[in-house]
This record gives sequence, structure tokens and C-alpha cells, in this order.
Amino acid sequence: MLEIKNLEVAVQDKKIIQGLSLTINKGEVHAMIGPNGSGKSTLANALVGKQGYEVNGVVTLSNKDVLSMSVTERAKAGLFLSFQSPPSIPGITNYKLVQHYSTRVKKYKNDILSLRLGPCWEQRNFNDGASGGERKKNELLQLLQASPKLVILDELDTGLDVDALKIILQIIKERKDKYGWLVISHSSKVLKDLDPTVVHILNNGSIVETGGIELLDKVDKQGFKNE
Amino acid sequence: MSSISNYVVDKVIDSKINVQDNSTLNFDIKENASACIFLKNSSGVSTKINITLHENSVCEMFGMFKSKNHDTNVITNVIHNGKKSKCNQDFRFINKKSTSSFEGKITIPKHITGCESYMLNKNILLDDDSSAFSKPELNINNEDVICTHGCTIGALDEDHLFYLQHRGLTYEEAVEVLVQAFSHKRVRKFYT
Repeated sequence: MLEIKNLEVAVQDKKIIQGLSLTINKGEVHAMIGPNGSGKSTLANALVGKQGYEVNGVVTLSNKDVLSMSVTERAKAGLFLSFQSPPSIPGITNYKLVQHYSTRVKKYKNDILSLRLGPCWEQRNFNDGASGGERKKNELLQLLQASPKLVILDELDTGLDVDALKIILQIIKERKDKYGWLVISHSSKVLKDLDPTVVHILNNGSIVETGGIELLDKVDKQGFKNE
Repeated sequence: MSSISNYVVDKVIDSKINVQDNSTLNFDIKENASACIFLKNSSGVSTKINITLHENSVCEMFGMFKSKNHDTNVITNVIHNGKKSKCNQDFRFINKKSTSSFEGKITIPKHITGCESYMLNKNILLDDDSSAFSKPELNINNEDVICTHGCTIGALDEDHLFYLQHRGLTYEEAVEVLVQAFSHKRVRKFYT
């Protein structure tokens, strides 16, 4: 479904991602782990079309060329990114924003309940005054409203308490087969709980190792030193 | 064509006004009266608003001016003529290929004590061809007052635009949503 071939991403002539190739199919959970500054978030942002990156290579989603699309077109084609630090937008309520793109507004209230986001959530301004954990939950809430093909979760676990993480992992597991998943994190614990299909280790902008869940144990023991 | 409108307020009123070009609006707010005035225009105007406040009176003023290819000039002149009078003005401008200018004057004479007066001016510039001027003028002659003024001028937040586009809105829709968000956050300071 999502195919990345020989991807290169540069910011102001500095290469962040070099020669990255990856194929993610429906129902697969790809965990990507790597040290700070290895290019994880750059990969996520470049895939959804954030400005300021020079991107080369081939990226296709269901055989459609992604790199020639605008940000909006990529979103409509089915790319969904859960932001690492979602912005707050004062002046527009959560509900109003969702109305703009959602296909299942009717179930919005139920989704809020299932994420335990509090009774007045839909009337609150978008992420305004929300805690880090609430913002992450809100990202998941957006995911439930959209109907993507490929979901990228960038640092899913930051700011979440144990119970919230459990709820979110449960929601993801229930939808595992519906989408393709790229889960980015620097913590192996959360990735293990997700029971990923494949684990990639990203270092210095390229995938240095690919394997099963046992790779996460290795990272736990040895760190990211690949000796 | 210029027009002058005089309003004498002696009770509690809520007033919505579509501001005309070259107009002068005079509000005389009597003792213990209260006015909440919403002013708007979307085609670029030049207007002057004079407010005279008597003892214990309250005035809340919200202005929302969108201009495209036409410039907007707004002058406000708030005179606290009675003790313990309160005024809050919040004027916002959205400029597309245009220039806005806001001049706000607050006068509190020496013997008029216990007054509160607030002035806020926010401007969004939608392109590089737009600009905004803001000039607060506070003429305060005694120590027993609460007075503030503030101003912001800037473009729409790139991160917000990107976020909304990534959620599937087109660039134009994202701008529309953010402009609406900007214009809707008007908070009444006084409840009467």
C-alpha cells in the first residue's frame, strides 16, 4: 500500500534521511525506533508534505504518486499523521473543526467517551488549555473521525499516563487490520505493547536494521550502538 | 458622503452596527447605563467613534473589520466624563491587499476617579501586500484608574495552516477557519 523507495530528505542542504526504503501493507504495524535526531519525525513530516523539506525518491500510496500531491491531497488520499506536538487553535471548537472533514460526526460523542476526554470536550476550543496527554488523545480522536489508509503515529506516548496509554493501545489494536501503521517512538516499551509486525531501527537517516520484536529487546539491552 | 449618527444611551442596550464609510458615531452613555456595541464592516471604511461616559456607566465595544483591496481607518475617542465609568474596546482587522489603521484615544480627566478603560487592537495580515497601523493614545490625569492597551500584528500561524490542511482542508478553507477563529474570540469584560 505505502511504498517508499530510496527516499532522501534534506533541510537547507543538510541530508536528514538518506536512501530509505520501506513498504507497509494494510494490517501491518511497522515500529520505527531510533535515537534522538535520527530523522524519525522528519520522515513523518516529509511524508505528509510539510514545507521546508527537499524530498527526493519515490513514495506511492495505493500506486498513487504521493510526492507530487499537496498536503490536502495527501490527507484526502489517506495519509494520517498523529502529530508529536499538536498545536492549539483558540477560537474554534473541537466539534466545529471535526465537522469540516469528518465522515462520522454522529459518533463523535461516543468516541470522546471512549477516550475519556471529559464531558464538555466538543465545546472546548481546539486543544486550548489542554494538557499534553489530552492533546494526544485528541489526535487519536481525529484519527477515529478520519478514514485513513496509512496511519503514522509520531511519539504516541509522550504526556500520556498509564491508564490513557492503555485506552489508546486498545483502540489501536481494535483497528489494527483496517489500516497500515507506522509507529515512531524512542521508547521500546510502548512499541512492544503494540505487538508490531516489523521493527526498524533508524539511525543517521537510514534504516540500519530490520527484524522482529526481538530487535526491541536488543535495543533495551545494548542501546542503539550497532556493534 | 459623510454621515453623523448620535446615540443617547440611558439604559442597557445591545447594538449591532454595520459601519458606513465616512461616518461618525457619537455615543453618549448616561449615568448607570450600559452599552454593548458590535461594529462590523467588510468593504473598507473610514469611521470615527466618539464615546462619552457618565458616572457609573459601562461601554463594551467590539469591532470586526475585514478589508480587501480597500483600506480601513478607525478612530475611537473615549472620554470618561463621570467617576467609576468603565470601557472595554476590542478592535480586530483582517487585511487582504489592504492597509488598516486604528487610532484609539482614552481621556480620563483629573477629578474623574475610579475608572477602568481597556483597549485591544489585533491585526491579521493575509499577504505581503497588507499592513496595519496601530496608535494608542492614553491621556490619563489621575492615579486612581485601571487602564491597559495592547496590540498584535501578524500573519496566520503556519503550523495551524499546515495542521488544518493535513486534516483534509484546502488552503483556502484553512485560512477561512483561522480567520473565523480569530474573529470569534471576543470576551466581554464586564457583566452588567
